[in-house]
Amino acid sequence: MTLDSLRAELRKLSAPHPSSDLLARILASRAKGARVILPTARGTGQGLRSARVAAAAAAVVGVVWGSMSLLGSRSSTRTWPPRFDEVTLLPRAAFGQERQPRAAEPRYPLIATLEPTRVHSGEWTYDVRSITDGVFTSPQGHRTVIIVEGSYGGRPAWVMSESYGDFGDTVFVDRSVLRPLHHERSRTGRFAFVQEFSRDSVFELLRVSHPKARTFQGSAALPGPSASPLTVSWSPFSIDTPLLLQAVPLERRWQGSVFSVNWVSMADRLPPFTPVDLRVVGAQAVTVPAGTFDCWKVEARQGEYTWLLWVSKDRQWVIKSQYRNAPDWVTERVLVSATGGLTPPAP
Amino acid sequence: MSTSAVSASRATLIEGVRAGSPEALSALYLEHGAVLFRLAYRIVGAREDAEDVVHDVFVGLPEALRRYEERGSFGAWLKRVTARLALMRLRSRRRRREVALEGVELQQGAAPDAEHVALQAAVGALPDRLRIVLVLKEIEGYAHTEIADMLGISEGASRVRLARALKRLRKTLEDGR
Repeated sequence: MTLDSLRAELRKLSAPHPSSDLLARILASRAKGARVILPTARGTGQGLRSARVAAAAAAVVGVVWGSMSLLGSRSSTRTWPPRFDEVTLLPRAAFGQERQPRAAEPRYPLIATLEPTRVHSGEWTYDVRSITDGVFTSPQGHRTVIIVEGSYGGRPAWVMSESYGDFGDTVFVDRSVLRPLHHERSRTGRFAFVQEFSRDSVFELLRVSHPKARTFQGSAALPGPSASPLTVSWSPFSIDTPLLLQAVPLERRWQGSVFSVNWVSMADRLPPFTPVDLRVVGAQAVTVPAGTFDCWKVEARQGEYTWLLWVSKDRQWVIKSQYRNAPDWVTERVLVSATGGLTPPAP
Repeated sequence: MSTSAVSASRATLIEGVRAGSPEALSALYLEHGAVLFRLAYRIVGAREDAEDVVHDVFVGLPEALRRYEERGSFGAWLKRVTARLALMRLRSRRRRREVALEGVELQQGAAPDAEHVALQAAVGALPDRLRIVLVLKEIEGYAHTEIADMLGISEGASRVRLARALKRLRKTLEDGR
């Protein structure tokens, strides 16, 4: 067969037709509020580059403004933020062809059993302190974690936010499967980023301001089954770990893993996903400024990091968490006050 | 209908889709759906995945059209978006590629001969990185520049992959005789 005849034969290759009900399914999905972020076509030239820079800047302003406004007012609902309407997240085209570092294997089976109805709104304030040699305690200020009911893109969501100093972190989590829908994180003058999640992908725009202004864009296919929960973090104190812990069926010897989504736009330097391996290692009564609580002691391992969490047996609140930075240096968070239970779980 | 009338009608449709009109979205689907499905199918290699891709394209179209700059052909833009989404799915699912030998509806006038089936199987057996370039260049008619842009590879790499794909195809077909 000559090359020309092969090419001619290739052009004759057939393909099936789509199912007759595909259009109906598309319209039904739209009617139900389903939305998909498409990897839009990329152009070339200076004009587009300028538009990208403007879009990135607008997104950064939006992130900072959005985090502040969200934390300032606990609105009960929030839909697709209008400020992002004209901002393209510009996922890298055809990222599917780019090799990504393989995520480490989870130590335990991925968490499959959840009780999402146990999750409830509230506000938890923690004292953070650093302890050296088990003796010298240095206060590191307060951290307040807020969970409120909300919505994102028409889907019921839990909105978790945390702020301290010039740092803000907000994540919208799908209430039915506890997977993130949207994540914003910023530190004034340092960095800001936004992540959008679809069923099987994450799209990210990251703007670093210090020490050198740079913008990263990236996207990646999410690991694990689409029904498994995910967390967003690249540190042991993940913002949404407390929310997940409210929903897992903790008991003696319980164990399970969950993938944590990191900075996917820097996948060439950092692994975009790392498993967090959780297991109940004991039970203990813990006394903190907020009171005394009967707790499950949970060990969490993420890569080289290991930290301990004391989770109350009743509502599964994080009462205390501890991370060992070095053999003689520990960072602790202890619960000072809580106003949880605006929508309390069933007894 | 004149070219300007077609353009005006297209612009009206696009405006309708942007505004969230189901009728406008249906009209666009009827115009482009089958072509986009074939493109997606040739990339992902499985009917269900191809339908998911086309489903996602049209579900995401109203929002994506807000960013559409109306430069160049609208159909070509839609095909590029579809191709990218299909490539994403191919990567994320890593699903076993199905060589569509059953249920294939042949083009009008084409006969279901053994050579046709062998060629289809040989294309399906190519590694993804070669098969995608082959499909995009030889069947869908993209230029190497466009393929390079879509796949995030150099134009030279696209040419090399095509040459390798054609070489392997010829060898497979000759060995099978």
